Amino acid sequence: MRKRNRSVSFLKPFFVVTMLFLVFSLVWLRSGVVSLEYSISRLEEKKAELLRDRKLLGAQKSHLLSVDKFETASANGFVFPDRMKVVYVKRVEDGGTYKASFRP
Amino acid sequence: MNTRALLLTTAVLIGFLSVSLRLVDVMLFNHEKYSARAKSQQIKKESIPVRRGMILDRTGRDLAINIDTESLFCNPRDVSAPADMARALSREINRRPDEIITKISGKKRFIWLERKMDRAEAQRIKCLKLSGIGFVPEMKRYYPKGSLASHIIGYVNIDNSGIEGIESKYNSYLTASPEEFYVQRDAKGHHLSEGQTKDIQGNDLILTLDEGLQYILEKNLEEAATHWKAASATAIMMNPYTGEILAMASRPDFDLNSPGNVKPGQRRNRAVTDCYEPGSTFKIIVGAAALEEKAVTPGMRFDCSAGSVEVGGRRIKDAHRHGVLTFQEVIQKSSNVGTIKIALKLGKDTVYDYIRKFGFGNKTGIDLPGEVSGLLRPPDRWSGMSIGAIAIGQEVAVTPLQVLRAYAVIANGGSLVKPHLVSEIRSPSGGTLFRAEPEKKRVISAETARRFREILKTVTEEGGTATEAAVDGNQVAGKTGTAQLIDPATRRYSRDKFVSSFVGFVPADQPRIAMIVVLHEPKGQIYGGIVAGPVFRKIADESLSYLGVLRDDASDKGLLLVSEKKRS
Repeated sequence: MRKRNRSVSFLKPFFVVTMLFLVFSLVWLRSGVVSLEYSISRLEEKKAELLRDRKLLGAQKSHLLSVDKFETASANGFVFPDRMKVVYVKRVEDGGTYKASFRP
Repeated sequence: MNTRALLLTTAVLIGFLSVSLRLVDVMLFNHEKYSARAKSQQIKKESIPVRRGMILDRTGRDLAINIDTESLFCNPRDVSAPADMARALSREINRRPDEIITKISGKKRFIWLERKMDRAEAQRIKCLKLSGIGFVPEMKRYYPKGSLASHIIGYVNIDNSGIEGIESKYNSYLTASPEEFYVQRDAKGHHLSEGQTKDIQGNDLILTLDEGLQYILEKNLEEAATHWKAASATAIMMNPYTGEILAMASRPDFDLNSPGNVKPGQRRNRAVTDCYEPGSTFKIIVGAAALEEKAVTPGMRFDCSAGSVEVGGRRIKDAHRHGVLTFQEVIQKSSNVGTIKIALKLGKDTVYDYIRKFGFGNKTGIDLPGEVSGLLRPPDRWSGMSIGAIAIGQEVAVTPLQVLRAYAVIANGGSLVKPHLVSEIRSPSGGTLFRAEPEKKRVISAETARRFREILKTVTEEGGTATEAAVDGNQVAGKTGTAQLIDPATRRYSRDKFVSSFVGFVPADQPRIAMIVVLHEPKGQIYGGIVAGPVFRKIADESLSYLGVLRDDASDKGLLLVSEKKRS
């Protein structure tokens, strides 16, 4: 009888400690999830910022790659091809001759 | 149990009971009220930004894209010192302080102060830490090529809805329905992410335009309009077999990124919205009809030695007196007298029938807003002289696109094609929603088209009216047009206002491009062969080089063979 009482008296605090541990674990887990959500949110904002930058750079690239930019940048010597000046050269076979033609 | 324990137990029980009762009240009786209040604090409704679809040229080069901007708003109730705020903002948004104060002095709780600012500008304002203002992210349409193809692409309003050109015509495809979502936030307003990025995107449009060809066409059209001090000018380049518009431009034009800075007339796409009397370019209708109906043969002779002919009581003259001309020479030298004699041979019903067959009097059906059908009266409303006037391109009003389409019939072997600008619509996931297929209707036989093509080749040869339109290396088939404009003051044909045009295709036997060039009111010269012909030649020459089209004489030259250099 006394033996049984001793085991019950041991189980009680164990049960309480376990319950407290579980409760705090849950709280800790929840706070971890929330902090993770904050981190993801911050990273998403950063990602959105970078995507916006990428789009802006893409727009600038498109503008700079306009055909008129090439030709008006006369300092670079870009001109439209003249059919009389362009000869396309292709190798006919490995180690063999090259074929030059007006066809690309 | 002693008294103290009893009291304590009772107090604890009462405490628990009151908490339980409150919980019952919160969770059962007033659940909806508190739930709504909690939601309003923790959950915020946000709209997902709609990204308008892009517009690309046939090679995938960007013509219309989106950039992220921020719009500045103000809640006047939250502004503590309006004068200070207005002064600080005026330096950043380029508005006078009194303008800003007037704007925020109303009773509204939400006022836009500046829409679609660039992010650097917005950042500078954020740094001022002013109360009562905020920012909303917004998409802004950006046209990286500026004024290139401005009349075709069109533009959008402040709310990103298309109001001109392709932007307007395909607005429903380019945009998508806005959606909203709920986001969790804390007491300070910080968002708690669900780990998903939300984005709604419209469909992308792939045009038949080629940026390179468009640039070549616009550059030369601009030069010509400036050189001839023309009131306006239009040019269109088309694939004659498919109806794909490769380039289309009008002058004056405007910058797509600031369309509000010009007069409305500058934003008009004259290629499809403006009509003119086509003059001699219209003679192909009578010519092709006569060949198709076997009313003439290329060698048949017409006496044009009188230099004029009387039709319905009106005497119509040739620009220069010709002798006896063959049918071919009538077209080559653009004789009014010869053409009218052929038309009289055909009769007005046949002439009218072929005008309709070549697509005049109807819209071409191009996918652009504002197209007009021109003006063509049925034969029962023709006067006695109408058959003569219409045969030489008077008493009819046409658009440059209609004329070009008619020439494409000769170029492609006898079929009327439907011009179009959008070749494909692509969904955001990359799937094809629509792909344009060429629409053709045979209107004359291939043999008639071939024979007439041979005649049109002579127009740019020695003795023709458009030797200036001939391209070095490739044969051009085409026709000049010089038409008088109606003087609005006298309501008669003006003596000094003309429309000069040239329309043709090249290489003549296997055309890669069909093109029309029209200049309104050129100064100094009036003839289509002199004013518009050289513009055609320059554009065609550069375009054929750009497209890598062989010269007609390339096969005579043969292929060049060079030996491989031995590497040392």
